Amino acid sequence: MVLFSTHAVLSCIDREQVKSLLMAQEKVSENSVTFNSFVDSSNPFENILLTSFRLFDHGSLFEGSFEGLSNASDASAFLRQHIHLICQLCLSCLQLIVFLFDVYGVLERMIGSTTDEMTGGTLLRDLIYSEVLNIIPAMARHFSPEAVFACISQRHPSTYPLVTEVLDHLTRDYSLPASAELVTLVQSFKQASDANSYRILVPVLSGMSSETILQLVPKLIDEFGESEGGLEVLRSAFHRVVEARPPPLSRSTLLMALHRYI
Amino acid sequence: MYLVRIDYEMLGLKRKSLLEAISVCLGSKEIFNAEVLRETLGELVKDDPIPIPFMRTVILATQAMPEMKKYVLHEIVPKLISRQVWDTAPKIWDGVVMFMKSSVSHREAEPTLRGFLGLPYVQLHAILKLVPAAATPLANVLSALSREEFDEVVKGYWAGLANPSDDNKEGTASADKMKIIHGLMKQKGNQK
Repeated sequence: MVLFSTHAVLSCIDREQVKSLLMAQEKVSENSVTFNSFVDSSNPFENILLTSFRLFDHGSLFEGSFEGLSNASDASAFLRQHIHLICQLCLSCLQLIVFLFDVYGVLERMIGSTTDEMTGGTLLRDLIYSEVLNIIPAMARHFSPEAVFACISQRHPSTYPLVTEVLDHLTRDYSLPASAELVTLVQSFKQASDANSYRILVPVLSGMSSETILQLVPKLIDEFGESEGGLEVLRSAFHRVVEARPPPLSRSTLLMALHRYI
Repeated sequence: MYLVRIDYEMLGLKRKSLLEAISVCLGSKEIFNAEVLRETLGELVKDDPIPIPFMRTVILATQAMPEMKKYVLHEIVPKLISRQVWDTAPKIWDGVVMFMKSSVSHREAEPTLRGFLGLPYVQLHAILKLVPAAATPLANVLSALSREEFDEVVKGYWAGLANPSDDNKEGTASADKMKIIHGLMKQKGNQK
């Protein structure tokens, strides 16, 4: 028996703090995915899920006794493997991704309040982040972008950066305009989340009308026109607008719009 | 084009951000290629007023895509001359002068040089002062003109700055200006 969390991957997580965070999140408590709700006893993945959920389950996440894990490296590999497996299972059961987003959200909030540069929490959060993004191409073949977005967009605001990344990945093919349904979902999400940033709208610009885009362009420029990272967002936004087939704005129309101010 | 003007400044948009956004487009040469830029500049040059970033875009575009220079020298600068932008949009004219510093000796510069030879004295004098390298190409163009073409160009008819049917039969060819023209011709050793 090896102490898994306290001295290894999750060693820096304050157990009581996380528990209180989880309990305080009514949404998480009510909606978070539980083992029983997804696993049929005849499911061959039961053992995998059981192990994974033992790892993440609110009660045992920070107890962390797992046999066979002798050091942090083992623990990291173990975590990666199980998150990877859960991601694979998301291809069969989309709702499972909600669970990962909830764990990610809790970790994001927790890490945001610590000064440690690299903790078990950051490792776990980063693993979820990268594994979720890795599975998106496969997920896009199994589920519509609308279904995936509807599933992940109802989580805690701390997950929004990941939601945005997932949406970027779901709409990676710039030649395909975002559907009207996805545009509506994302616009509603932005409105409901009361977010000041227009970043979440970038992946669905290709599905908007020319008039809406022309209204958004100055706002995007104002938000992203100064920093290097922001210019990448602008580049992506412009490419999405002009590379969609058919494009909501032609290349010359967009370029003219950027020049025309009074 | 159905596009309406957007009052960016009223929306609080910083000019620097706007210029960066234009640069982002110009940096994507495979998307915003020469054909797209020709179409864009061809429309913008008709705007009234001409957008302030216009000549900046011209200069950046010709630096990134040298094949654009022919279009600018044949179409854009002559149009700006005919619109007398030194009066209506001095910043645009400053941009023209800056552009010509690197393009005056271009093999496709003749239409622009013909336009310059039609300028009123003040503008022609300023061009020769700000772009001294323009003297030789201008003299070369003058030497290649027939007598009829010479009048048409030097009086500003060719550039659209004067009209033969106007009362002023000299067009832009004032006495001061003709001194400059003769100076250029002497330089070439080809007195008309």
